[in-house]
Amino acid sequence: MQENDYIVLLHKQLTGEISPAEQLLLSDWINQSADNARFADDLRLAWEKSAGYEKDFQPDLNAAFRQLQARIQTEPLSIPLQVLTFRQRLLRVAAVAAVLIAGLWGYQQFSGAGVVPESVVVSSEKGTKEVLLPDGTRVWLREGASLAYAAAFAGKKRQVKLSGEAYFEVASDSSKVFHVEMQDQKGGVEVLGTSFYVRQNAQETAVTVRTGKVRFTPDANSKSVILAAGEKAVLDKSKKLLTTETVLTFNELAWQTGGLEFIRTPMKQVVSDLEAYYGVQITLSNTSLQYCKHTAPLTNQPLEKVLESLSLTYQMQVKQTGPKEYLLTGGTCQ
Amino acid sequence: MMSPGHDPTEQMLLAALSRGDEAALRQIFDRYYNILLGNVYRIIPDEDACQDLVQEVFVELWRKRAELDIHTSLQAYLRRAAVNRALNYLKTQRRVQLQEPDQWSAAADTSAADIRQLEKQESLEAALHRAIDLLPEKCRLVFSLSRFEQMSHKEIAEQLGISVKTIENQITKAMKMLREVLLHSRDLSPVVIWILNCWFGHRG
Repeated sequence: MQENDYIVLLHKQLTGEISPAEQLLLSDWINQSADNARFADDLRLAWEKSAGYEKDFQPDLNAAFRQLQARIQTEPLSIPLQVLTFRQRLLRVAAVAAVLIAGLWGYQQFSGAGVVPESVVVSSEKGTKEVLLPDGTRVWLREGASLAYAAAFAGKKRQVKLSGEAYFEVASDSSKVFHVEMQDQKGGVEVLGTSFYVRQNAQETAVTVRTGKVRFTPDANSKSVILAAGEKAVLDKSKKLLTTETVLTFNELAWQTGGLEFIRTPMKQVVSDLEAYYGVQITLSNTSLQYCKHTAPLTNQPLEKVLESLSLTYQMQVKQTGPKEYLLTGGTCQ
Repeated sequence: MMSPGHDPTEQMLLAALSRGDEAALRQIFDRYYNILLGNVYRIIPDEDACQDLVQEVFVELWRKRAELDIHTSLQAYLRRAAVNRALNYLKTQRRVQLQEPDQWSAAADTSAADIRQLEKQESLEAALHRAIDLLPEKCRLVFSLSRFEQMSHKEIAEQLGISVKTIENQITKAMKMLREVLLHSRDLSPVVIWILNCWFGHRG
């Protein structure tokens, strides 16, 4: 064996990964000469004295934390749907069975008298339609959406069925859960009193909570998630992936609120909200502005005005490059 | 659900965090950001990459805030997460960096000017730390993983996707270097020549 091999053994001894056989070899070598013993001691000392090796960073904590905040808002969380255990599924089936049995009983009770609750269907073919439900809940249906509900919420739940997009302001009633069934009849949203927004299509179901809390059940065999105010969950139906993120503004509700607002919104998001609301394409050429935080109260000004005020705030140049295309250049963060 | 050591402040912070309290995140950030940067820097000596990776650790902490299940101290948990991230980062860089055999076998290409800095009167610790800074990049990485992350030769080899033999060569190189610094700190003979000999005399 050569010196290098003993260095490896000495190192293994220091880290505690030396084998008994290797330890014997090493001890023999150390005992061979005073030089070897000194060599081993030196190596140990150097190793021990290297313990405090560290780079002293002096980062600007405020700036670093602001960066982190920007990331948190732009990087949503995706998790695969958590499948219910057999026991949980059994309980859910039992609950359904109980409702069914109760339903049958109720049907027998009332069928003679002919009091089967009548279902009402409201659709919004053009524009947004506001619907007032029997319990005082207000629903804004977006174009193309329809809502079915019982004329009187007689049961234990206030049950409605939604297809398409809608914004709900649910009247508070702690004794009766408000339950929104989705168009594909799987899962749903349950609340006691709160406001939230549902968007659904063949690929996705999205639920955004504006006030209060909702329980969102992505599909019949998956665990529910509780969403608090300012949280949004998006279900990717084909990938079975649930993404939750925190929203600061409710600009996807601009069709209901009638305008956009920005609260410390990263410029990247500001641009995409403007694009969606005004139906245009905006290019932010200065990428260092992407995480600048922009704040502006709810407004429904024409796009030109909005861009003008943005350009004044951040010293950017605005150029219209096509009928519905704008280019923002230059500028600095405040 | 959570058992973050026995530090009540830490438990309160984590409880607040799980409720989505951003102020709690800020406090945890202020406590550990710098420390984690130091930990990651020993693996990846690139300030920008370190900041990026450590921020990702906090993004992940925030994302998972509701279902955190921590059995160690919060610091140990965050450090583990940061080191794993750093190692994963190295894996993504591997094709570019680690799988270049030339780099692995290359002798120290540190310039004489760098070495001369060791001439200044420094404590043994400071001299050793500076010497680690000056180790060739891969050598420093292997040494750091062994010294500071308590990884075995085999674990390091697996993480970096290189042979145990290569790891041992790099460790040997680093250990020799540290020993030379130690000897030099005792011996006030002409320093530059001594150290230069150490660097270029042990290429085998």
